[in-house]
Amino acid sequence: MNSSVIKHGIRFVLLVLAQILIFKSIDLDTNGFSYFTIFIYPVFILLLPIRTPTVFVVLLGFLLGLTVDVFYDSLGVHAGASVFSAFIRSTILHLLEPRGGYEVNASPTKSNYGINFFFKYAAIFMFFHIVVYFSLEIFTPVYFNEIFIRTGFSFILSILFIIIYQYLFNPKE
Amino acid sequence: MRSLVQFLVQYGGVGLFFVLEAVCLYLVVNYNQQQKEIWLNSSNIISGTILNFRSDISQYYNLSDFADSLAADNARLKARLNNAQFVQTILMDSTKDVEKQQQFTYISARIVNRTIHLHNNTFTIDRGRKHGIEPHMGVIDSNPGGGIVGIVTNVSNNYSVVMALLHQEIKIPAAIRRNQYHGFLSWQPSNPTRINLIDVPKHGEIRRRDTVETSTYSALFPAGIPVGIVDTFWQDPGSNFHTISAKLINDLGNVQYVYVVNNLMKGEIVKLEEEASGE
Repeated sequence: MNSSVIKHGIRFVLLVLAQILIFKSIDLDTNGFSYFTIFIYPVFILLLPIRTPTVFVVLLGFLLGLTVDVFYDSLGVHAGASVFSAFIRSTILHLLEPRGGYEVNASPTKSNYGINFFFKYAAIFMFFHIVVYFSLEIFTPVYFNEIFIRTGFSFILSILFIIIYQYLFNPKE
Repeated sequence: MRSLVQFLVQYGGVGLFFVLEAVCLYLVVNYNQQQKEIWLNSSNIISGTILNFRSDISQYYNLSDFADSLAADNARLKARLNNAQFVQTILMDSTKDVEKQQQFTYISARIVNRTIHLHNNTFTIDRGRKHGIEPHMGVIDSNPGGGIVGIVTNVSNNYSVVMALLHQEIKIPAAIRRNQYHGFLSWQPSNPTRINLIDVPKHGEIRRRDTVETSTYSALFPAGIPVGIVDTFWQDPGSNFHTISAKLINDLGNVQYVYVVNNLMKGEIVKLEEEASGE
């Protein structure tokens, strides 16, 4: 249990660092219009143990988002998206529950439930995360096109990196 | 205590979710310039819409006050029209000095009660002694097309009763606009949309669609207010006068606002005529 907490704690720190040091600087900016933002830090919420109570997931999501926000200088935007996706995580997991149910204390990882499961899980999760993120960032339905385009690009790239992460580290929890 | 914690862990997610999203929204609009501006702008639009809506409603409730004030304004403006002035033109040598003196002023009023289907109809208006109304003042329609309403008979502090045009005792001097043949307005019960003009000299030429208007002989009404349109006319056997049946220009069944006419020179006329008949 303790080692698990430490592991997730370390992942928290490393993902935030990766996000703000590496992915923040990957940017295709033309005329002040940034086409995408790559999200890697939500992996922390994605990989929390399945049985974690929603109340903790939401709280951790808030802390994670707020930490990223501090470095992105966009207080509340990442936090809002993270809280939202953290909240719907249990619903997504419930939808994708395999026939035999989840194992106690397992994390929803590729190594535990296969790439097929993980891809669907991550895709739904990231979709909502990114939509909420851009809604909060752009903050007006007037720029619907902008929300749409940036959600699309960001979604594809983020999913790509999240899957790569799974293959690279193949975490069990 | 334990069960409370357990409850919170199990079901606190939703509550915490909403609380934290609210916190995030607060942070977003308070610490991000762009979102802050959009937020302020949008909330201005929303609050502006609500305020507009509210003022629309309150305007609706204030409508009657507003109409009252407009009617009062109109009364003031009417008093400045030419037919409310007494022209005192003095011919002196070759210079012509046209001097006008105020003859009529108007008091706006609203009809609060009426009858039109009786043999002798009366209206009640919401202005009385306090507002300067006295018996024997004329009452005209606020309708810009003209029309007269009746004559004030009784006055209390705040209300007055008007003997309507649709009253058998009514007798108001009137004339045909085209040739100024004079007669008297008189009403026969049964039709609230018509009035008779009686005692018109029989040599006067009358046509259908002539306009009947208030005459200069009347001390109660300014001259020239249209009253009705000639419909039919006939001559009673052995009589030297025409009787004209005219269609009223205004609908006395739905008149809302009226003006009470105050003739500033009526006292003078009445006194003079009394002196003359007393001799």
